[in-house]
Amino acid sequence: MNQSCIYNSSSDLYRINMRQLRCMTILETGTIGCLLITLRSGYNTGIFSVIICILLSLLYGILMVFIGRTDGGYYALVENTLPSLIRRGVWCIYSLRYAIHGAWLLSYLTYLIHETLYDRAYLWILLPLLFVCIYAGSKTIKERARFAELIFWWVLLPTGILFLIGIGKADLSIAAPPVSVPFRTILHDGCRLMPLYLPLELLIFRVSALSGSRKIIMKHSMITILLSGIWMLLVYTVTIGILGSTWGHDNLLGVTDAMEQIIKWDGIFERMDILFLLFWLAGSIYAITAYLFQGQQLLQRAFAINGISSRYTGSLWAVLLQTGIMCALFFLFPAADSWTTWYMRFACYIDIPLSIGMPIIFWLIYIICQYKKRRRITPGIQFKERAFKEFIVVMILISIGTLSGCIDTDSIEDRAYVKELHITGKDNDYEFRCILSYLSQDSIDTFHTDNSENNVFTEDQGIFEYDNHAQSIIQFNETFQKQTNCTFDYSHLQGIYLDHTLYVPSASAKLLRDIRTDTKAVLSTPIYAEDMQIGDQQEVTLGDRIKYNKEHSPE
Amino acid sequence: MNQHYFDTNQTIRLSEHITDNILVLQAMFRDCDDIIQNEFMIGQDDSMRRAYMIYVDGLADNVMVQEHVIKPCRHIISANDHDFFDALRCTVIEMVDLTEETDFDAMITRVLSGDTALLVDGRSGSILISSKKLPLRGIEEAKMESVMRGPRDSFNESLRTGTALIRRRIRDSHLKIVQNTIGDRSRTDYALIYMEDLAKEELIDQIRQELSVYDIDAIYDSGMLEQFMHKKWYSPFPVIQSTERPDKAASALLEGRVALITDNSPEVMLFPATFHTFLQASDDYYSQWTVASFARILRYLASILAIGLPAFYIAITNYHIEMLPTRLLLAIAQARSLVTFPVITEVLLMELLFELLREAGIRLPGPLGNTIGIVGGLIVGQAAVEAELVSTIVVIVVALTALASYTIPNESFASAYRLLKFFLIFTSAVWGLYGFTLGMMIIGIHLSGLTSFGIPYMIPMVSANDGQIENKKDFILRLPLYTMRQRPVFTKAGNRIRIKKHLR
Repeated sequence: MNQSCIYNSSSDLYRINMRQLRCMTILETGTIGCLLITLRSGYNTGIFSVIICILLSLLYGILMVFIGRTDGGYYALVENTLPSLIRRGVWCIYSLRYAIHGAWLLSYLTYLIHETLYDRAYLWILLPLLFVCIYAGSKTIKERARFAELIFWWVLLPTGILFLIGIGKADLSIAAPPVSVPFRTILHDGCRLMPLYLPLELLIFRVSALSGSRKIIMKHSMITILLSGIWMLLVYTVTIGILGSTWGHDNLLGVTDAMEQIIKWDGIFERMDILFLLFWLAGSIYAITAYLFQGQQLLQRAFAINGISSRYTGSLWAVLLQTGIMCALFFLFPAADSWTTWYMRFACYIDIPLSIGMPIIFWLIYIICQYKKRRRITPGIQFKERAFKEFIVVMILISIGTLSGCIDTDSIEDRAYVKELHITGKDNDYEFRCILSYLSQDSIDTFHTDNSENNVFTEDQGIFEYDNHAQSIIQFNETFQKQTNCTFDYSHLQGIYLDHTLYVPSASAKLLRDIRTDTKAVLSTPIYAEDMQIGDQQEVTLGDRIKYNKEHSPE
Repeated sequence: MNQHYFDTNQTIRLSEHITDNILVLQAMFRDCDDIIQNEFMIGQDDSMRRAYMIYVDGLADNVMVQEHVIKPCRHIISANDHDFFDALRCTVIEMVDLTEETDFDAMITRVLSGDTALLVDGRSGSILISSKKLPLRGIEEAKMESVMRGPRDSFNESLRTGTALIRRRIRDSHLKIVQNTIGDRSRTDYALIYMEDLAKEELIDQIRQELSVYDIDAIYDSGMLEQFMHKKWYSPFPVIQSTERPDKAASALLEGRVALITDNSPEVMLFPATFHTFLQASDDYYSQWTVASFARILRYLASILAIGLPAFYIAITNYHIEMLPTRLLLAIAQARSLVTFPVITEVLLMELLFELLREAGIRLPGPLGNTIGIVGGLIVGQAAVEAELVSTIVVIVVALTALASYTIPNESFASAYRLLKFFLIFTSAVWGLYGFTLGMMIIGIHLSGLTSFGIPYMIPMVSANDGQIENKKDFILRLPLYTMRQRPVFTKAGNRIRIKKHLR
């Protein structure tokens, strides 16, 4: 954090180039936008609403670049036209809006991480995420731009390749509904998607750090928006094509569920999609840091002591304050889905009008007042380095203090790996039979000690078989855990075998959904009919069944 | 007088009266038995004049001084002429490298560096004769940066040998070698070397300015200077490249970079340095481009393994076993079933064991050091597996990580990797692959913020400060030499073409 440097439009230190702007914008709009595109898009308008949204976002982008490139940039435009108090108020509104965006993103990402990567306490997920955000948010715009360049291809290539592979597996006709849908509906659905393009607003602050004419910048910005739009289209088409309209539009984690079904790798990794998700996650975190960075910049300006502060560096007090506001807002809603619902409403009805209205009003005022003399720019704000150091020390101590917690997990050898799951029965009275690939000696001993009279457990040349009656899969799991001190692991399940009554899709809808939710079985796990030869079976997976049930009985 | 001499920062000029100078020198070098001071007479009969010679025994070539300075002086007939002193310099002493010095402090520094000072009564100056004969190692094969193909010579502790090895490779008058000293007490010589027409003036000025502001006791090695010049003290990544290979230094100079040779150090510092330059090896340029490119790709992959493999293993086995192929998962579970410790302890145990072996290997003398690395690794690893302290898979992971870290051509850069490996182990142990990603992001953000003397550290993966996008012909792939027409971004604008004509 270079505190002595003051923004100077001619200084190389605070200039970015078009490539950097492109990387930043695509990462910020693309990563989060793609994750939620299916949730927000219209049921009946499909791909058309996405295309309309891209067109609208082009107009939005043009407006931001146009006003952002006004003489001296948007900062100067506001600061030279509005009285001090109003100006500070404006920056506070911007900063609060960005805190809301950031808080929602935090909420959504912690939920995503919890569901896909790390199912521990939300707070424990949030803490390191905040640390990374603060660290990234306190860098200069140039350093952030370089980081965007650095991770750009790492994020884009894996996801791009994954979804290109997915085209082959997707039913593309689902994404493109009949063209008879009224244009008004398409437009409405396109507008509903606009919140995903809100990070484009940051262009208004950034374009002043670019060199080149307004026309060239405009052209490049449009290309950037189009590229990110193409990425969204690809993700949307493949996701909806794989999950189906109902499941895809109804699912907060639709894209990750689709990723899970696209790839079933038999090489180094069995679940390659997790690796790809990590890269995507990095890009999404970058989007949060963008709001944090911009918010703290505006806070610095809002609370500048000596006139107008115009630094392009991070200031620690501002970063911490902005993070604090974000955290407070994060706890407004306990669940990510309610947060998302509220946020989308807020974005559609308040935020987008504000993000368009405010710049237009200030620009008009500027045009009227441009004959007035510009105010002089002077530095402000003291940097509280000590507070930053103390914060880091506290964070490290907390992390080290809880290091022992990392072992609070079932070790790799303490689980029972389920190879096959056979289910018979109906209506909350099932007989589950598991074929286990591996079971530790300790678990076998525990079982024999505690259940010597019970013969539900058999062993034959290293293959273990366990069967029991239960009303649900979760009850079955719990019984096994009590008897063996060991937990089932379904991550390497090679098949679910259903008897002829359960093989009928409607009869096993709840059961299969519970299996997915409670065991985290992979969506590409095949489902077989118990009484049929393997060669005669249809190729049906757990994902296919859930999709079918969503479409035909979306209770 | 002596005390006064050291307490003032003023320039003290030599006295015209030799007695005054002798008194100062004798007081100054009291109890310094290695300093040879001798008074003798020049001239014959009535035209004799007092002279005084001083040099350091062991640093100066006393035979040469005797033969080419003292003997000719004794044959002078008259020492009373007005221009006697100039005649002494120009015609009597049979040496070319002579200078006259009137400043006491400068004279003392030169004497302590191995030169010989000759003072003559009636002249407020001394003749300084270059008579250095320092105790030195010869030019040996590069030990840390050895290559399969290419020159084998390396720098040694002598500054002059270093400059000679570079001058031998660049016979161009644009090659500038500017010498100075650093350290109040050590007065260590250093030489700033650059190509006048290729290096950016602002870079040279910045280095000069930085070197001039350090007011410290002593510099014993370039490593000390490197630490002083690193702006981000908390960063484990070096921002100055050090090399023991003259060909690497010469090649860097022709890319517009600046070299700094420090006396008593066999490592030459190169400014600026980027992440990528640390992964370049000399023989990349002496081998076929296909072979060199393959080696580069291997090195980049190895660098990822060196920093992340143990952490990735911990994350997967603790939190994401669904990623493992079923057979591998069962093999790991089977292997781990006998081990007492959790995976994190297992990995840390083996990593620390490896670091111990490495440290012991360095400290132990010569051949024994090499042996302990291999024998220790094999025997201790095998014993640890048999004692059920660690599983075989962990031994493979740690060995692979160690192997990967040794493919990084620069030792200080590899050390940063070794250190950060533990940081990633910690984040992965606590947060699994999520922690691994966050850890990598923190490293990425840090690297994006690093610059080396104005050049972004991550070039060419990121744009240069002026927005230029560096070409990637010498990056992960080393394209054929004839395609690399331009010098890298370090070079002064306007002089970036290095291949003007070739046959293709």
